[in-house]
Amino acid sequence: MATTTKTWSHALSRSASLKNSYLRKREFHEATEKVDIFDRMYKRKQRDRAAWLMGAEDSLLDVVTENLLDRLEDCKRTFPTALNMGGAVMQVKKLLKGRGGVQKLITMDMSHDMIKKSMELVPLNSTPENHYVVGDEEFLPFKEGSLDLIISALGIHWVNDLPSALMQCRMALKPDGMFLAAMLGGETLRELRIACTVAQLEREGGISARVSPLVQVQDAGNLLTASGFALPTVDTDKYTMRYPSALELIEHLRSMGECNAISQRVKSLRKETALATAAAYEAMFGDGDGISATFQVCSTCAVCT
Amino acid sequence: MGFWPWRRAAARINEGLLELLVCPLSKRPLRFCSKSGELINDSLGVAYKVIDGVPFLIPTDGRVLNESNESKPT
Repeated sequence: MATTTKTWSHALSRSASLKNSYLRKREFHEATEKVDIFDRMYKRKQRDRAAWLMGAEDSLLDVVTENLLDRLEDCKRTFPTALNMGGAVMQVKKLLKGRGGVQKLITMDMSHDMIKKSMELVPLNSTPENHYVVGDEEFLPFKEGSLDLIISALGIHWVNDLPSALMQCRMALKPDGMFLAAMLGGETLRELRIACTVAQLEREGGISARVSPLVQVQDAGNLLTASGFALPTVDTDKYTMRYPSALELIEHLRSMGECNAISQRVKSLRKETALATAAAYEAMFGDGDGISATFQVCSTCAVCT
Repeated sequence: MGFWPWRRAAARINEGLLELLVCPLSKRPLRFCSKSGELINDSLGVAYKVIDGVPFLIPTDGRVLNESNESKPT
C-alpha cells in the first residue's frame, strides 16, 4: 500500500512539474512572439492577382489618389526625390503629372506583378527618372534621410506594426520632408460587415471576421505624433459607391487587392453563406436597382522635423 | 542566371537608385555584385536578387550566403 501511494505522489509531483515548465515555456513564448494580425504573404498574392484583374481605371482609387496628390499643390517647396509606396501605385504614377516638382520617383510594392504592370504604364507628363523596387512597407529599404516625399495611397492599413512602419518612414525622410498617406478608416464597408454577420449567424450559427479591422480616425493623428512627425493633419472623406449587387462589390475589392487578409481568417466560405450575404446586403442596404457601399478614407499629411 | 546565360549580362542596377537603398533588416548599405547579379549585405551575409533592374528587398526573398562564398568583396 505504501509503495502505491509513493508512486502516485511521485507521478503527481512529476506531472505538476511538467505542467509548470510547460506554463513557463508558454509564457516565455507569448512574451517573445509578435502577433501578426495580417498575413503579409497572402496580401502579396492578392496584390499579384489584383495586378492581373485591374482595369484601365478605377473610379474610387482615381478619386482618392487625386484628392491626396492635390495637397502637393498647396506646398511652395519642391520634392526632388519621392517614394510611391504600396496601394494604388499605378494611380499615383498616372496622376502625379509633374506636381510637387518630383524629379525622381521610386515606386515600391510588395508584388512583382504590380511593379511589372506599373513599369509598362507611361503617363503623359511623366517624371524624368523612374525607379522600381519590390519591397515591404514593414521593412523599408531606404537610407536614412534620403527621401523628400513619401506617398502611400491606400496601402498602409495592411501593415501589422503601424508605429514601426511610420517610424521607418520618418527615418527615411530628410528633415522637412513630407509624408502623405491615405488609408481606409473604420467606417469602411460597414454594410458588408453587417450583412456578413447576419448571414453567418443564420447559416452557420457563429461569426468570424470577414472584414478586416481598420484604423480609427482619432488614432491616425496620435500615431503620427507618436512616431515623431510634426504638424499632422488628418481628415476623412466618405465615398459612397454604387454597385448592381454585392457580387460586383466583391469583384471590385478583388481588383483593388483589398480582400480579407487577416492571418486567423476562416479560409473557406460556403456558397450558401455567400449567397445569403448577398441577399441580406440587398435586403438591408439596397434600393431596388442596386446597393451602396461606404468607403471612409483618412488622408493624413505630416512633416518630418 | 541558371538556364538563361544571357540574363547575366542583363543583371544591372541603376546607380541613382543604388545609393538610396539599404538592407531592409539592418539598414546598412548594400553592395552590388555584378558577377551574381545580387545586392549583398556583407555584415549579415544576405543576398537579395535583382531581376531586370528591380531589386527584391523583402526579407523573405533574401538568400543566406554560405561561409566560404563565391561572392567575396573584390
